[in-house]
Amino acid sequence: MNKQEIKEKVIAILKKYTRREEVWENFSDTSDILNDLKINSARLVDIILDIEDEFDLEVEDEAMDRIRTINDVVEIIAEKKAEKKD
Amino acid sequence: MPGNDLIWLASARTSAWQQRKEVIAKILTDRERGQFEEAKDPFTGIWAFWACKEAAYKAWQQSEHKAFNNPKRIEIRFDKLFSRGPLHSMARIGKRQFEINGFVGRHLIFASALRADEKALRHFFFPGGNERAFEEEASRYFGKSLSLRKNKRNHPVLADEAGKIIEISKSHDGPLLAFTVPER
Amino acid sequence: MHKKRVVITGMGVIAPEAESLPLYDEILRSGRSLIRHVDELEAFGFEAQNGAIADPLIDPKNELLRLFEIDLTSDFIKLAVKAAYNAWQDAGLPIPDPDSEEVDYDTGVMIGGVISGIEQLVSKVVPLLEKKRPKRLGSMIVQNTMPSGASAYISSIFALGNQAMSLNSACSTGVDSVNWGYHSVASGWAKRMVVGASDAYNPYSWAGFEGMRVLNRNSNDAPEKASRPMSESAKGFVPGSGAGVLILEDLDLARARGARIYAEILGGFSNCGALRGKGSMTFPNREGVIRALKTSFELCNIKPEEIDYINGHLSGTMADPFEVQNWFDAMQLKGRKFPYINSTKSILGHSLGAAGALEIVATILQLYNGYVHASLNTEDLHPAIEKLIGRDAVPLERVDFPEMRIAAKANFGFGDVNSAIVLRKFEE
Repeated sequence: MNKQEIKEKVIAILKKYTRREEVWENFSDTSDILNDLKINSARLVDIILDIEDEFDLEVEDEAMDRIRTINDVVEIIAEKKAEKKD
Repeated sequence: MPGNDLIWLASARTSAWQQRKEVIAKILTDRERGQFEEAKDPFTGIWAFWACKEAAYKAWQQSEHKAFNNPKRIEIRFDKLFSRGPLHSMARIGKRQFEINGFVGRHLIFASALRADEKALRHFFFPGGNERAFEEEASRYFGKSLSLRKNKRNHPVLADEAGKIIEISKSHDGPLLAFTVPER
Repeated sequence: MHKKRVVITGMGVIAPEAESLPLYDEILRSGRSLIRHVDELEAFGFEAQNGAIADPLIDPKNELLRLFEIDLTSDFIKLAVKAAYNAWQDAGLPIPDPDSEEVDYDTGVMIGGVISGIEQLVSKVVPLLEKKRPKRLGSMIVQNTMPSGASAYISSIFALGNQAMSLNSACSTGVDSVNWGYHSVASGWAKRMVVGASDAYNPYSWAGFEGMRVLNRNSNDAPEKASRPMSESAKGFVPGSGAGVLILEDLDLARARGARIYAEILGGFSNCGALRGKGSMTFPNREGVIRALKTSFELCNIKPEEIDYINGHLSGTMADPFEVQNWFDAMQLKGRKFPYINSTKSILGHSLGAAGALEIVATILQLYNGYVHASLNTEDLHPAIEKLIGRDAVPLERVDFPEMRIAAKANFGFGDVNSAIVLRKFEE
């Protein structure tokens, strides 16, 4: 799975938790999940659970703390996927 | 020759694969997708389609003795879209048509299929692993001693002491076992 | 302290097959049973297989409720929020801008429920804890199971800054929530209150009543005949679900904004029989009931003979004739005719905590529109009831009654609790 494919899946998950359609009219890899996508901070936990299911991996709390942007999520998943292969 | 399917929604919830777009495209035909998109609750909606397909497939297999993997070969048409309550649909596999009845509940979905020319069905629900209780209940229902067996094709049947067979369907999900038998 | 007058200016219900007030009114008018056979109960081994199930689904097109993530909540919260949304709109109140920081500190919310959130425990918490994976529960279990969850969501949607809480008094919950709201407004604590109760269908919570053998298991093939309050053949109640929400306002506030007024709350009273006398966890101490009713009449400054209509608790158990006797003794009408009495549970079943709220809305619709709905399945009225109050007091068919002025409503619950409320058609 390349990063583009990962990103598409991450966005599909984030869409479940964004409550304002208009945030998707103008977003980028560096969009801040809480501030730009206006996702309720408590939902970050649920987003991580969905990512764990979707990509079949585990995200530790420390990794979760690093997440600010869409790109952060994609990087963490790509890292984990690479670790798994090793 | 009945077919049934039982879905324990708590387990379904932990495996979210049916909700993904690409999976839905693999399961549902174009016509079904039209109906699915109108569903108020996509979660129970997709599982209701799945339960109907499973039930129809099992019923079809009992007479055709063949297998296939593509769920789109089974087409389901619901009378009415719903979230919870009684479920009724028609299923078509090739030239064969099946009528499907069941329900969408708070914790489980159940569907049973029979061919249009067949007798009505009866359902029995038991806690998982309790097949003996089903044998007792079925023996009482049909008025003769019956035991649960598997036929050559590995389908569940009820056999009386003379070896006469009643074809049935069995599903297991979560804590429950569901049996469907033809009405006596 | 001078008490403020408290009026009802909006109502919303989510009942089985009836999510709007006009439809609810039409169902009550036509006396159509909403009780159905529930196949899932049969699968779970219930002998009593009927029920009335209100639909908690949130319309995906309702952007406001989606914005506040109501679709991610538990069933009792969804029912309560849907009913509150309808009540708020029915009252003609504006929906605040979700982005505004403004809070209405004069309006509060009190939504009760008895079996709130149990479905979350069953379908989420138990399976994951059994796998030793509590972290997989995600972030929403607590807010979805806490009894004040419905009030919390409703306060967020409408920016309500007065008290936001819930109370629970078993089957008295609905009446008590409305009474609490009445006191809040009458005392000046709040100017407006969003009050009511909600309880959702779940086989896991209904199972307790099956276990107690208090559900009617004799009518699986005729669901519409299963709920038979006041009948000789009453053999247990039929569980139901739904939510009822009312908007209560200080009369001055309602007048100032030109609100439609459905009725005025004259007052009410709640007490507990303390499980003394013949009272128990499940059966009332008669003395407590009579005191509760009498005190509510006194506090409202009305004479019992002014009461035109009674909406009883009347759930369809062996307790019904005792309840009617208690009303009779509390009112002491001395030869005067007993007012009309009916049971909304004959149509809706018994929705536990929500029952009182749905029944108060039913009472007000009857008062406002001038009719008494049929008390279904009373063809075989219990002889003790017939002897006491006469056949005519229990309508087998709807009675048009435009002169109706005062209605009394009570519920009685497990724990020997009694709650009554008195409503009057609005008079200047």
